[in-house]
Amino acid sequence: MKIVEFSNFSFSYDNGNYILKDMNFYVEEGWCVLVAGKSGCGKSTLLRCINGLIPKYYKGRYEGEVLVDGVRVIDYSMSELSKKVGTLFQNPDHQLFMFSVEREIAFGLENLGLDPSDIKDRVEWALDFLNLKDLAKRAPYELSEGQKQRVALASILVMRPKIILLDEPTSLLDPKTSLQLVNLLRNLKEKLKVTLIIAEHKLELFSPIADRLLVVHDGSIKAYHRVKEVLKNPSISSYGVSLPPLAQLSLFIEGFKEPSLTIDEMMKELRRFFNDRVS
Amino acid sequence: MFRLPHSFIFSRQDSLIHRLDIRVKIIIFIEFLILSLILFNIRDQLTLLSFLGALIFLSKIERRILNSLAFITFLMAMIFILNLIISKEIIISLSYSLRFLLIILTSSSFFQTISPDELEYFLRLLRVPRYLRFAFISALRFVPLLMLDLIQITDSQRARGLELDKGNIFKRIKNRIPILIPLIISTINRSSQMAEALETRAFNSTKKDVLCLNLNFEKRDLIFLFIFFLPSLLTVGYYYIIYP
Ligand SMILES: Nc1ncnc2c1ncn2[C@@H]1O[C@H](COP(=O)(O)OP(=O)(O)O)[C@@H](O)[C@H]1O
Ligand SMILES: [Mg+2]
Repeated sequence: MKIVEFSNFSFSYDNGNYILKDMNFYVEEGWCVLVAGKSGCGKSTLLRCINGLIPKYYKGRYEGEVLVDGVRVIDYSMSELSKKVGTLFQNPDHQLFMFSVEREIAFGLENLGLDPSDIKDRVEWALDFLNLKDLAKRAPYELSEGQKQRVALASILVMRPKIILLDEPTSLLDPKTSLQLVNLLRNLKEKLKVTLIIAEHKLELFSPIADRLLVVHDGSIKAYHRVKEVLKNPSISSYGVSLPPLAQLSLFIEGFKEPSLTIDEMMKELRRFFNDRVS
Repeated sequence: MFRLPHSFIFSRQDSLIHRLDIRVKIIIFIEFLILSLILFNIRDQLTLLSFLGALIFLSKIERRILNSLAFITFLMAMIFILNLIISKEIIISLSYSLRFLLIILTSSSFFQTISPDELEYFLRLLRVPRYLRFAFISALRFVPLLMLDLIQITDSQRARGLELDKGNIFKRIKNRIPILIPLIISTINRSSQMAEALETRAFNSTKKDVLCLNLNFEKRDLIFLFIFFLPSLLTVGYYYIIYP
């Protein structure tokens, strides 16, 4: 089922230049889609079109349509959309408002006006799922960047969205925490079947869990396919997308069928490669 | 040494006083504040001070208070000397500086033991609407971030060769413009990003006012309320019953 669909969609802020131009693509439910491209190419703008900030909060020239879960974004109210789409912004400091982790997680549910007992159950669940039990009483701003991000994710997950958007989620994280985030997202994808749309140019980190790679350049789609298919085409590096080192390496080796994304895949290919040579 | 501001910021502790019901805390603090303002007799003031001392130790905030004590003592000495010059009465001057001490200690323990969550709960009891409460709470939340921004911007402008402490007063004010402008821009950015985050979390989307905080009034609260009402009872008893 198509959970997000852009058809003939263009957008410009305040009637300036088009930031997104004639976009046509869709995302199946449960996919993890990476959105890559130079900074300023329109990644954040694209995410805003899905979570409704465009056109509810940012007005401008809005042509064509964006469907979320089969309904046009413009036909939703912000509170209906907030139940379908959660957004993790670049800087968690700007999306944590409360003085304790559990209150932070409850905040969105309170905004929806849910029953307090219902809220409590859901908060418990989110604390448990993201391993935040020990931090429940702590103040979000005292936590490390990685923990802050987990809290922000918990406060999104607790709304039970079908889609989670992540805007450059690793820009403030160290390499180890970034890897933890990837594992966490894999977990979300497998256990909760949420659709993930991640704006990120560090492909090597996320490509192992991504089903599709969307390359955006100057507001237009330059490629949209399985990650490996896109990476086969060396011209994408001209759009500011850096090929993951492993993939780059495997493209150099003749006889590799497809670019490797993980060490394991690389090892398998290498083994096959050498076995072929020996025999 | 002069860490006075610190003693007016909430200090997260697990103490008997911190766990008290917010209503009890507010009643006790209002009571203590009124008593500090009206008592003008060294014996009564010292009685109140000993209750206040017990309260401070039970809240485990004595360290922060001690840290600011140097500054408080300095102010007390100033008040004492000024009053002594004017009134030439040692006892009265002492009472004035004790009054100052009582007010400072009461308000400082108030701010250190009441968490923003409890404050929100209390505001809701007073029927303050959710969006107003949020404005209040987020102001508390974002002042420290603003301070951090200010420090960062000042440091980076200094690193670029900005000299803050040169020239006369007008020059110094002018020197601060390169700090002010980035600060304003970063604050605008921050608030627009906050607004975006609020929109995606359904802020202000329903008229229902839900606050998922359960603060229960327990027997313990009643006991504390009684103990810390003793200073008032003593005062009233002394002035109206023993010495009418
Ligand atoms: N609120 C806004 N108003 C006007 N122009 C904007 C706004 N936000 C972004 N832009 C412009 O849209 C373009 C794409 O920005 P953005 O979507 O943030 O790119 P990315 O996230 O890929 O870095 C940029 O040229 C930027 O200047
Ligand atoms: Mg961006």
